Amino acid sequence: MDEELKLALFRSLLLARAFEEKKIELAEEIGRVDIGPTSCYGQEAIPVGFSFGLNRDDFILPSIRSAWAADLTKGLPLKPIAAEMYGKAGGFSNGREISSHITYPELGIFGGTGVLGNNITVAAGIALAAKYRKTDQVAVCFMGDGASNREEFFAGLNFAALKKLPAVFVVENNQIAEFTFYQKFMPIKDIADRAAAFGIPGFVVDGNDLMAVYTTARETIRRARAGEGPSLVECKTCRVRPMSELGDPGKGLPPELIAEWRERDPVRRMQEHLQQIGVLTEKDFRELREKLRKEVDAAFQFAREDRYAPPEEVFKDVYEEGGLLE
Amino acid sequence: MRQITYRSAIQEALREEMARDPNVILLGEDIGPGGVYGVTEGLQEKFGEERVIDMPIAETAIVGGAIGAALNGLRPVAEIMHSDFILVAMDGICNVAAKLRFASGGKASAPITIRAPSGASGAGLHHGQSLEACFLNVPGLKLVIPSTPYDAKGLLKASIRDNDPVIFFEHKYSYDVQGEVPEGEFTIPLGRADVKRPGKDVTLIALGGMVRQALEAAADLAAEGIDCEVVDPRTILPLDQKTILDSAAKTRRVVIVHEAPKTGGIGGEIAAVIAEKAFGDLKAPVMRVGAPFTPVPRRPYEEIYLPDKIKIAHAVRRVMA
Repeated sequence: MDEELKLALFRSLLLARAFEEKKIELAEEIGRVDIGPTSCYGQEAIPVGFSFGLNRDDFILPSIRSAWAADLTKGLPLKPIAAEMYGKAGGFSNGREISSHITYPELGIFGGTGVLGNNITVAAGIALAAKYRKTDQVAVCFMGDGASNREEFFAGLNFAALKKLPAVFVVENNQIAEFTFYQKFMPIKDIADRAAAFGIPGFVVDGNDLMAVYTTARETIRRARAGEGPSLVECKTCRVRPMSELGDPGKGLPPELIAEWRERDPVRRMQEHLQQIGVLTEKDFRELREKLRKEVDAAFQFAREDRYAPPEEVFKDVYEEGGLLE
Repeated sequence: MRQITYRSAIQEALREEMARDPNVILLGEDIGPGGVYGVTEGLQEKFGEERVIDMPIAETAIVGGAIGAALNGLRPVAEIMHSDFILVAMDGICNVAAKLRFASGGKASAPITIRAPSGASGAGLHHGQSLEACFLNVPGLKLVIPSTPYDAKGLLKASIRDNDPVIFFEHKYSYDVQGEVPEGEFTIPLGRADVKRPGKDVTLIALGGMVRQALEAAADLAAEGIDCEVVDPRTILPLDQKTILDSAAKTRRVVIVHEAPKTGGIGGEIAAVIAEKAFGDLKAPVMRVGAPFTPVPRRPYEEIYLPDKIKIAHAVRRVMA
């Protein structure tokens, strides 16, 4: 892999990390308005690796936990994301919608809903239109291990596989859904095994290894674009944070497991690699991190100072004709 | 004017819209062979398998797939084989499609049309429900219930062109009913009721297949000297309140009729609108005629279950008393 590409990937990863750190730091303040907040701290390599380098009109359908990291990597600007988080008028939905659900078609982002997994069939539909219109687009659909149990998983993957649609389905297996260890709700260890049911390739990847994730992303996206059909990629990771930053850490994964996975932190691994191959010094790293943290700070400052939407801006966009039908 | 069936009128609307706009595609179970009601007969031969897509038996994929395709530039028309099966896809309809415009600050929408053959068919509990009221309390949806071939054609074309999600409830027992439909292009805007029969004594507000029953009741009642006005809302979201209230103000007596159970049906909403805005005009309480609050029994019990012209006439006589 080209060194410049590695640096660019690392920059995206570090931006996602800076955003997660800020979210954790301001959890109480954010939690007064936004749901959670939930953090993908420690899992950022998956949304970053799959959202990096996509075309502007390719679609991502992020998961609830990694939406911010995916959106930022796809090119969504920081300030309106932060404003959405604070429920302010400068957000993408005038602050009406939870910030993990940002939908912005111009950049190919479908943010999903509070019902996890219903983006899977939508991804198949986006890919269907891409194939029909011959646009060369792909749809990259993210979900957690929990959402991979939903009926949409079966219906969506079956349809996408049947029609050889240009889609990639990415499971962020962080081993826990809400408060329940994933082995308590599925009888298999590797979710990628389910690919066999649809006659498509299933891959298991170390989700905390950015380069491994990116390499698999490129290959599965290439397949999709080439008309070879969808893939299922299971990225193994670990939720090192509680369900929500305001939630009970005691209801998370066992501390020993978390400690083990913290040793495999994707940011540190990539940083060490770049230092080892001599393209990044410790000083470069600190400067880059500082720069990105300042950008994130500025976005959150913007969000705090932004105005709330007045009622007439909130209660519209129900129909094309405007707001309320009586 | 030429007469065609309700089925042919719907098929013509699909055929014309597909010919007009290459982004219109159809998704549904068995629609290539024509679907169980024959509505899509011949469309796959004409437009190909890429535009008339036979879907796996998974309403979640039909509706979710339609939403995704709409997000990416298409204008999908999904067929739910029997409207009863729409319950499988409630999440996609109510949580995704209906909320997309609001959730995205108006930057995205789901211009999908879901055709849902609705009402009794002789086959009972799971092939005979009229579920429109289940969607009435969901902002973001438009609900269309055509009663005649003319309305079905014009409203379906308008639904397909509409930029919001529409559920189009087709009345199964009306597929073979003939009616006047002019040759050539026309649409009917959503949100406009139609007065199917002018009258001065009682307003009969009837939905879908019940419009025909109401007209038959009106003909019988005319012989008794009761002059009924029959109003067909045609769409219930949006609801044309003005036509309903004008008629109520004129006749001062209202009976509302639908095939769904009376309890929790659309009739309650329409009655509430009239009570809020026209109470002073009324000479008698608003009456509702609907099915009993039970599942739909199969043939032959269905006949005693369904509202018909006799039950409607009985209600009219009561408001006249």
